[in-house]
Amino acid sequence: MAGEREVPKKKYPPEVNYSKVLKGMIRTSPLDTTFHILMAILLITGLIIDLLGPWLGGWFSSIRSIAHGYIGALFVLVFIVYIIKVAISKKMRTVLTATNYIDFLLYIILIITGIAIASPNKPWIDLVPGLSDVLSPIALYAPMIHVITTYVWIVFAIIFPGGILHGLASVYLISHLKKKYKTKK
Amino acid sequence: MKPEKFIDNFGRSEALWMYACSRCGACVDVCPVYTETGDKYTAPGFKIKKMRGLMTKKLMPFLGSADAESTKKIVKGLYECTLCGRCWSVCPYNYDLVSLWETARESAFETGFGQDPHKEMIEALKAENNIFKRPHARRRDWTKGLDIPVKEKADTVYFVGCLMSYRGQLKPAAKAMATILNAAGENWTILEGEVCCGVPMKFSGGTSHMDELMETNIRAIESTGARKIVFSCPGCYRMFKQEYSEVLGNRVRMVHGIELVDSYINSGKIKLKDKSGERLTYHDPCELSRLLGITEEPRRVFANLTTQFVELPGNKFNVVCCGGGGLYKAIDLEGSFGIAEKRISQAEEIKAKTLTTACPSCYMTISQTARSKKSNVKVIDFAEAVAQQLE
Amino acid sequence: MEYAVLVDPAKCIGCRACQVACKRWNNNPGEETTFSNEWTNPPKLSYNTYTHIKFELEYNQTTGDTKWRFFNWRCMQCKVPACAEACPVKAITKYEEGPVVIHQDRCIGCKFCVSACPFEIPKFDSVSGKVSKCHMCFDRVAHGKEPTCVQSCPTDALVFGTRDSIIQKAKERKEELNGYIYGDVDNKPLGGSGFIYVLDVEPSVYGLPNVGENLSPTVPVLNLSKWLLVPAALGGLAYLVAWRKRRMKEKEE
Repeated sequence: MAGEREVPKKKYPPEVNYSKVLKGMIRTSPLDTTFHILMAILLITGLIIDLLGPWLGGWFSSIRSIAHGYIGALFVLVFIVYIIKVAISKKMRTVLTATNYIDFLLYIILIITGIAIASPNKPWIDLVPGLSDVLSPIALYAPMIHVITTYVWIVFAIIFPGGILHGLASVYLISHLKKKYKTKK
Repeated sequence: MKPEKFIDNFGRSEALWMYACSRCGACVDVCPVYTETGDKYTAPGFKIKKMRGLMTKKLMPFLGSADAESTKKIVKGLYECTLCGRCWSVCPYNYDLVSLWETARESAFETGFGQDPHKEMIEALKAENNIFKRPHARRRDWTKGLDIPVKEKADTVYFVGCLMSYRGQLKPAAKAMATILNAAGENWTILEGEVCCGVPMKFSGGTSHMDELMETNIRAIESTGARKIVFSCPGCYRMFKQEYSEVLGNRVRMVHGIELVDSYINSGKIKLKDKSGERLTYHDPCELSRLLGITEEPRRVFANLTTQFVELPGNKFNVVCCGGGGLYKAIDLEGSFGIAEKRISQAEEIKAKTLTTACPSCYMTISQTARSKKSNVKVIDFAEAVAQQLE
Repeated sequence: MEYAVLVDPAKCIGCRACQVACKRWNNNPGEETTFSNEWTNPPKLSYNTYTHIKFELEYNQTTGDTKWRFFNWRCMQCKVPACAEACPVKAITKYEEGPVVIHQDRCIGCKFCVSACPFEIPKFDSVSGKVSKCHMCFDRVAHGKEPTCVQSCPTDALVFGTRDSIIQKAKERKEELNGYIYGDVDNKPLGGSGFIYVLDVEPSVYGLPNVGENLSPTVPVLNLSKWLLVPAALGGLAYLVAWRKRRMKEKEE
């Protein structure tokens, strides 16, 4: 049958506001929600290190670096699950565009370089000691590629249009509809 | 045809939605037309993706311009849709997708991309005030031989609608509604000068003369001094609630027949015989259940009619369309019946003897399919089910 | 007062006093090594090993001659250190006295310096999560005292002095050896280095890489890539302008 999916009753015409949208996002795809949250944290911590690094320093900055690293590791796992879901789902391929696929490519570059950078760190050096040796050829260039790819992604995500433009449009739309709904009532 | 203008007519929220869509794909899974045809151009998420491409080309002209061929394909997909609202029901943004499709259709029609069958309907509406191009003078032919009041003044107006007026198969349903109104002692009338409510214009996008139709109906209703309008068709009902109520305001109360019957039973205005043991099921019309939220009243009514009411899978708010909505039948009759066939199969699986519904379009689609499938499920309108249990 | 150290591999006898002195002064733990057919021990620099002597046995096929080359390898203390440029938290300082120091309290272990250094000197340690290297005993040099490795060298293969005097000595020694100077005069990697080598053969024989005077593009690219945010913002602005134009048109209608 056409997707036997039961959803809780909603009122029509619909009310759109931030809390409903966030709840909807979590209900529709917890995987997607996790993916986005982790991505946002990684982007923000990475930018803090690169842009505010000279002013931060010492233990504070180190925690940033650890937060970025461990959350990055979590992101890798979530990403793998997400990519598998996309690959096997025809529905996803129906709605995804070339922009999305280029996005994924950039994430893969970030992930590989990220792993290369992290491979000599604890606990990975203990858990997967061989990894550091295997990745050592790219480990030398990995930090540079990692940083540049991030900024390339940002440009791409705004102009092409990509994820950031989508985010901005969402915020604008929800604010607009929230206002519209209030005035209609 | 003006492909570059198609996107131009999109309003602010429609344009924003093109980018805000999170591409979660939930809408694709649940669309009845996409499930039936497998054609990706009918998938809601795909349509949005394509329209977003047109929008981007509009904002960033160096990426190229929209061409007529691809716009035509996109618009065709737009019309291969029953406007059932299932996509909206699962959308995490809760974005009004039904309104998006309607606006997109309006835009398509205005820029010359309207579908030919719909253009014929609009011409018929302009000429004869109904989509079948049957003569307007014969709109009340169905009342011949029946005791249907046509008064100048009344408390209640029964808005019959084009389908009930002109389709012979629906005559028993209209007659049954009349019987119920009489049994309740209602001071009611049908409109002498009733014309189409105008919803086919909204669904086809050809809204340019909708105001005129609406004005005719409003004048007719106001002249009766009625305080209540009863509808058999959820399409007319929602059209009135959405568009007419701005003019009619709080002066007139609007109800669907099944809501009215529910209140009649509660207040004791009509008396029913003892409950039958007939195995009865009910197909929620999308417009009534999902888009208007009327799901409990029908169940209360049927609980009073039979002891063996059974529920179809995919019902109430989550109802799966019968395939008869959004003027989809005019575009792809086979697809429409294909969707209905699934519903009949479900009715057969739960071993329902009778399937009722509260929408003339659902009724037509499902009953025609049942006949062609030679199903032993009997399809009747809810009013008939009630009328035959009246004391 | 800028200081420098002259390194004269021809005088080095491979006694490794410098390695030991460095460990003692910096309180660095010893490294567990394994027996191999290489004499260079520890085989690589590390977080705890700032300097070592590279042992190369040169064997001439035709003449049957063998020649040992002992080479003291460590951070070059470059004038324009690539590592300092690359560090996102400015944890690496080039002091005017000469030393290039990685401040451990500031280091976040990102390893950008590791990838930036053309000599592959900075080393990461997984236990501390930080990077370190030879810092030219900056705590001693700040008081005009020679680094501890220089002090320990029995043959004056390592000599400390003001930069000008060291360069003078290098030129004199180059004449004597009919050789090459690496680190200034002939060859100025990254603008010149704090450790200046005077060699009897070409630098490549000792494994000294051919590093240009200027930073290779990778480090500036790393630092400047954040400016991509400007076109990104402009792109966003372009969308906003196009959007507002549309809205104005809409309002007119």
